[in-house]
Amino acid sequence: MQTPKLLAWIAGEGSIPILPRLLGILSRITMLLLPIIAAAMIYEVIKRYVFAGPTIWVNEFSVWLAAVVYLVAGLYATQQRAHIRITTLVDYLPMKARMICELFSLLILAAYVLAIVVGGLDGAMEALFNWESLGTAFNPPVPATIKPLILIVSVLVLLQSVLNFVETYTHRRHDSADEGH
Amino acid sequence: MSSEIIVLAFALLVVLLIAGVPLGFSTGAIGAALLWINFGPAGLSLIAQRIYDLAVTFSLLAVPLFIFMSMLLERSAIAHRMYDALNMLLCRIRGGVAVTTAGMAVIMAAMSGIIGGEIVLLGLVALPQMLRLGYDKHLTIGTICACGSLGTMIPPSVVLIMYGLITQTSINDMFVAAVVPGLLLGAVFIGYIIIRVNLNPSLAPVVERPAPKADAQDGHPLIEMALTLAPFVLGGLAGMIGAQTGATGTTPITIGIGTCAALQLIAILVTQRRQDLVIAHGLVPPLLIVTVVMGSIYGGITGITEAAAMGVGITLLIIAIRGEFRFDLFAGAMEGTFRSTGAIMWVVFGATVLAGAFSLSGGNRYIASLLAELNLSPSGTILIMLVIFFILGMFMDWIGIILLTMPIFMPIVRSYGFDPVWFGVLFSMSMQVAFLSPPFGSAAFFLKSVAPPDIDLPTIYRSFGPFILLQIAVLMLVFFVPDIALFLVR
Repeated sequence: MQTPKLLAWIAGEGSIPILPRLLGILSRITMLLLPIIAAAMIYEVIKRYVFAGPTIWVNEFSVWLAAVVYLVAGLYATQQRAHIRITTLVDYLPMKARMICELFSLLILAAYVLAIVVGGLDGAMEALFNWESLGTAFNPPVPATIKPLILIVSVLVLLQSVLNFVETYTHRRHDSADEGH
Repeated sequence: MSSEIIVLAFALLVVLLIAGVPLGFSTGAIGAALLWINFGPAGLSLIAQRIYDLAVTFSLLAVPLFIFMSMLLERSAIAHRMYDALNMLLCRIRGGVAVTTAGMAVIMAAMSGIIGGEIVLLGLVALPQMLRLGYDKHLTIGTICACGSLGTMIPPSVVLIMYGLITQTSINDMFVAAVVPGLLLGAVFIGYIIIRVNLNPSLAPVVERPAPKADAQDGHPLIEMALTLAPFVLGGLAGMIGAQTGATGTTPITIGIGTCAALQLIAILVTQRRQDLVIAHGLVPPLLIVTVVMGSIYGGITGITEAAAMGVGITLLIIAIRGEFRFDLFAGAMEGTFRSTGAIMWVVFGATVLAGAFSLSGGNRYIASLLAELNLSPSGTILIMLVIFFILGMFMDWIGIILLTMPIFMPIVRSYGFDPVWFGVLFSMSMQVAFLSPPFGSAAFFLKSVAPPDIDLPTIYRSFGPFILLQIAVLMLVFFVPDIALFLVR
């Protein structure tokens, strides 16, 4: 009974453009990992205490999913403009100066993402092509997946920030044009 | 490396922050620049490496799980019912509603590890109630914000977890050490409220106990308190019997806590049918959550991360038993958790990059030599650090402060032979002050978002004065008597 509701929730509603819609779907699927992680850990505690047999997979599995959550959540926070920043001063600036600050912010982010990608590309490729795993009993391919994902998500965060900037810019130009009438 | 570059890097960071560049991106970019200048392109490989290492840290996972638990709590009626129950118990003493609010904040703090949700909740539940009853505006606002900030002081606390992770201090020790100072703060607030309203009765009119509903079979408060507290007594007995019959290690504790939690669960099922037992109906669920989370941690049953997961599970179970479970409540909690997690984690990533670059570049040694030149006594140095926390706290988030200062301060704290656990408690207490201090103390903004329009920011900040003094007094007490924090750890 809950399933259609869940699917409808994941798909999102209303007429949203394709890119935000895809990001919304990706985010909502990733969010579902949170209760899955919690459930896996509760299962582990019950196994350990009630059945005296801890699992070999819960801790590594949880950490693996959690890393995906942290990364995709950063992308979602970018789209929601929820990243922690000090806006108290910027909010008092005139619109033009504010846009310069936004642009400046974008350049700083671009430099950071460039540094992540340039510095991390070799390591990520190596981990991916050797299908690096943790080398434990359960042995999930955590480095092989998470290392490349860090680079991919970083680039997407930058792209989303560019989209945010364009959106703010066109929105404000539209606003000021309205005021002119 | 030359000291000029370090000074320049920090000056640049301040400029970026003021220009509104997100915290996580500016720290990361400055870290990258430091690496490039000192080690060339090869140095940049450190960035992705450090992000990866942090992302797969098991302890870090406690952060989103505790946030998830808080988000579920905020959206359920558990807090509202607890407020009704405490009100029923305390409303007849002078200042009773303020004490109720403070008491509720302390219990909430033992369930929640973040700041914000608790203040918003108290702002929605307690603020209108207290203003309507004619409580003094400033006393009301100060109580809500000061007590509502305790969530990050009383375990579980995201601030303590992040401090432990960044400074490589045992998070378990942090959780043990912060309990007494956190509860002491709460007790001092409550004591202050009671003294204030007795000296000046016009601040808090006495109100009559709300009349019971016509059809209610009124439960006697004493019987209800017995029902509320019996699980603890019986759980303790069960644990002792377990120990007597030869169970070893943590098994007796597990038996005790398990019995207590099971009985509380039964009490919840009973009070669900007898909702006229307002006190038991309101108090047992939060106590069950505290039992499960804190019991698991302090009883040594699970680690902190697993305890957080258990907290999520038990909160969901209570919500389901009480018939409050709705898909949009669950989805809303997930969405809120996801957004906060994204914002916090990317600050943490940026900061770990900056901290790594900074220490590799010899920045720690530079700051240490700078402090050595000041020729301060060890205690004087700690005081200077606390002052720096206060000043930064006026402008920055706690997480930014941890990440900027700890890589510099920790080696110094350790080299003087101070206990990092004690320093962490001092840090989280100074963050309590930071939440209240103008111009950017976040508690004020959280309350403002739900307060009636005639309560403006200057009014809110003016209300904080006495509470900030109390916070600093307790902070100084822990500074001069470290055993208040440390006696449980040893």
